[in-house]
Amino acid sequence: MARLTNIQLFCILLVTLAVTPYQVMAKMLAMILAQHGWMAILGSVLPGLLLVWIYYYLLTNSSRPFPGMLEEHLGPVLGKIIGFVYIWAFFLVVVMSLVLFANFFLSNVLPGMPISILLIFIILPAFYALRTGLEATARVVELIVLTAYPLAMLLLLFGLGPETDWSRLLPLGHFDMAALGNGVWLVSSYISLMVVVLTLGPFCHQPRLLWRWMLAVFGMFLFSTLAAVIIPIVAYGPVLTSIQTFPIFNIARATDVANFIHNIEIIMVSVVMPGVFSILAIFWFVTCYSAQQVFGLQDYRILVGPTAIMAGVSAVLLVPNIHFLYIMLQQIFPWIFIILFAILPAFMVPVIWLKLRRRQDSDSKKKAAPPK
Amino acid sequence: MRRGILLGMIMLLVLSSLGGCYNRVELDETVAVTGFGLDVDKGQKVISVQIASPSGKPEGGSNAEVETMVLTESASGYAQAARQITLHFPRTPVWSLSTSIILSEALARDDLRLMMDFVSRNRFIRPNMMMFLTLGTSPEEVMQVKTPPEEYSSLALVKMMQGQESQSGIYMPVSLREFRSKYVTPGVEPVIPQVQIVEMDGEKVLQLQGVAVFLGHNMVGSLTEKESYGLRLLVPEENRGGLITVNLSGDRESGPLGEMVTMEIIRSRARSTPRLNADGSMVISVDIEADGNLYEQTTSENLQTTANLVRLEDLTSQAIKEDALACIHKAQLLKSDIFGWGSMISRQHPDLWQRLEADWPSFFASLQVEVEAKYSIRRTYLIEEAMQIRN
Amino acid sequence: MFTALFFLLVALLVAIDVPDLRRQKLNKDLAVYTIFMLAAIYLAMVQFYHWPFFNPLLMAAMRMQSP
Repeated sequence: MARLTNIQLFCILLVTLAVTPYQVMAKMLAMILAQHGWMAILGSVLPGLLLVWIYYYLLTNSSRPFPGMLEEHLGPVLGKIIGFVYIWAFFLVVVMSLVLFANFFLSNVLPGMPISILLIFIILPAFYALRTGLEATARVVELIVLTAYPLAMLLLLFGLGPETDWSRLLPLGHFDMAALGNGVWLVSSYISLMVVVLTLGPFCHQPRLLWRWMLAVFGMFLFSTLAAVIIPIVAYGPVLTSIQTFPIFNIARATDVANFIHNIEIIMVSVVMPGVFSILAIFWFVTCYSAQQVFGLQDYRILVGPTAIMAGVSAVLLVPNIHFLYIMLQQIFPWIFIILFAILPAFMVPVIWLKLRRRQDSDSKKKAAPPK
Repeated sequence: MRRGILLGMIMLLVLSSLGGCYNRVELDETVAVTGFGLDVDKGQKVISVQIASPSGKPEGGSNAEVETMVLTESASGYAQAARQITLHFPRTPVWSLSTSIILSEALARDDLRLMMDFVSRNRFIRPNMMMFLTLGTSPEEVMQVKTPPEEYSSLALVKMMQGQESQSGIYMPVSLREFRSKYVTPGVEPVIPQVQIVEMDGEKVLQLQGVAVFLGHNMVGSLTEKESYGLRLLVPEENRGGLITVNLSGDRESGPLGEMVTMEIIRSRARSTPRLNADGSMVISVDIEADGNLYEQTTSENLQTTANLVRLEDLTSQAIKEDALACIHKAQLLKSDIFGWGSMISRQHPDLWQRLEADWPSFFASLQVEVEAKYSIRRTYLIEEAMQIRN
Repeated sequence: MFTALFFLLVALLVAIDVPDLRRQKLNKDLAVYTIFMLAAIYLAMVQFYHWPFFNPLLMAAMRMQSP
């Protein structure tokens, strides 16, 4: 069985959480909450902590990685049926990451590039990494996070140029509560992508210490997403942020540090690209691993080839244009993520708790019964 | 075997990238666009592009002149007009190297919507480009003007703007990013510095002249030089550089020339705050703080005495206030909130803003404004007293 | 041309994956592999030849947009 170090798992979780919000959360929250977008991120602290606890509870009270733990706790039939649904939910995240990056790249960098060529070049490294195995993928992700994450944050900070106006975050406390709820729900749905820890956690050296790493990842996610949401607003204002396709990219376009550092958007693309590779590889692995668990296969790697084709074609087929992509990112995917990655695991907590309770009761009864 | 096939596939894909990017453009097939202008003519959208000479400066030393090439095309849209250029021009223009966008007054007075869409959507148009508006002429004509020692007028305009900002401090450069941000934000209207062609010794030269003021999607008027200076004093960001002339007689416009004193402004900053009166009316109170140096005096009087320094500070404060008020009155006349007071109210009094937003231009025009200016003299440069001829 | 290239890719993947599965007599794995590969081919055909395809995400997105 493959083994991951704690820091590798930390990097994997950080990538799964941070990459998508880095690209799109500023726009989506500006559309919902205008200058108060950052409040939704703060509002998602409690739901996020609850999710961390749920995942940790499931991990420490299960002997099999997800989705095998579904069979363990819900029985083989229901477990397999739900597990089958999860294969496609994870696959959806793979497709979402592909489509999002393809649109990011084709909107900003090379509009005329055939999407099929671009998809091949994104999928190929992830394909090779997965065929090589989880450990190799984790090592690559570790390197990517350690190098690209600080750079991604630095590029954001460069966006705080002379035209930065912090008063664009005002007025405070003058917002629609329903919009704030909507924002918190949206951010929480993307936090639920941390669900991969249920599959990857058992591969970790010290699963008992996972809560620390999960909390650290959650903290880093809050920091980076806050920066990614606040900086476009103070640089452009909420109205312009909400109408730009990718405000983060425009931050890089407008960056001009002392008339010396400018035209750095290509660096931003080269930072986002390995991030997308990482989230793609991780969810792709989880997709194939889930299929292996559900169908009882010997190796997940045989499914990498067919799913590669499926992912590439689905990326073109499922999302026809960027307009629908944003509708999906804002209104459809969050529902899927919340139901499958947050509510269902939360539902498993009382199931496990009751099972443990019953087992304890029967154990104590056995102990209390006089020996024959 | 399996590893070999996989390796072969990867090698094939890597080989396909050896030719370089599919959309690469060779350097000798392109030309740099130094700036471009947008205009309207009988409903048609006109784009003029200033092209940098592909062969660089011709032989002939520093006196050699580079032939300015300006291409102009018109169509129903700006993007379409820009594409038309490729129908008769053999090289691909590289738009991302452009430094300035020059708008015509006709376009600005007509409707900015299409122009804003063009410059915001196009990924080759960089947000740091500077914006200018032509006064009484077309962008094409402005781009045709020779601006020695600069080879291209669109580059010269940028340098003129940057140079005057630290020296005279009359006009503020406006980037596309700033213009776009103000254009879409409620409670603040954008401005663009104007440029005109004037004759000097029989030669056509470019001159910065006034600031175009916008309201919604159109230009509604211009600020004079004095009002433009006032605008610069009213921005909340710290300003550096600038000169202001006062007259010891107290009459700046027609006081005796021998009593003129030029004061330098090292830095200035304005703070505007809305104040609600008990009767529900609103007053905007503006505090301008500036400090600087005595820069030039025509009088032989020793100005560096305690009494005279206070007098000079008062006169300069008064002059600053005058210029600021001149700008405010003009903006109110044009109903254009170029100071962003509406935006400020929306941040500080969101409930009030909800009531005012719909009719803000009219409300802005009737706003009561109180301006206070405080100027402090710091130094007098290399001499203390005026040069005296001692007999 | 594109279809031919696509089937060449499929053939390569099959050549990589299937011999091992057959050698080890992993019939269930082979069946799952076949189903996934057929699904991939179907999706590709939908894309290349506009075969009928129900896109639930698009339907939902359109519904979200309609007043």
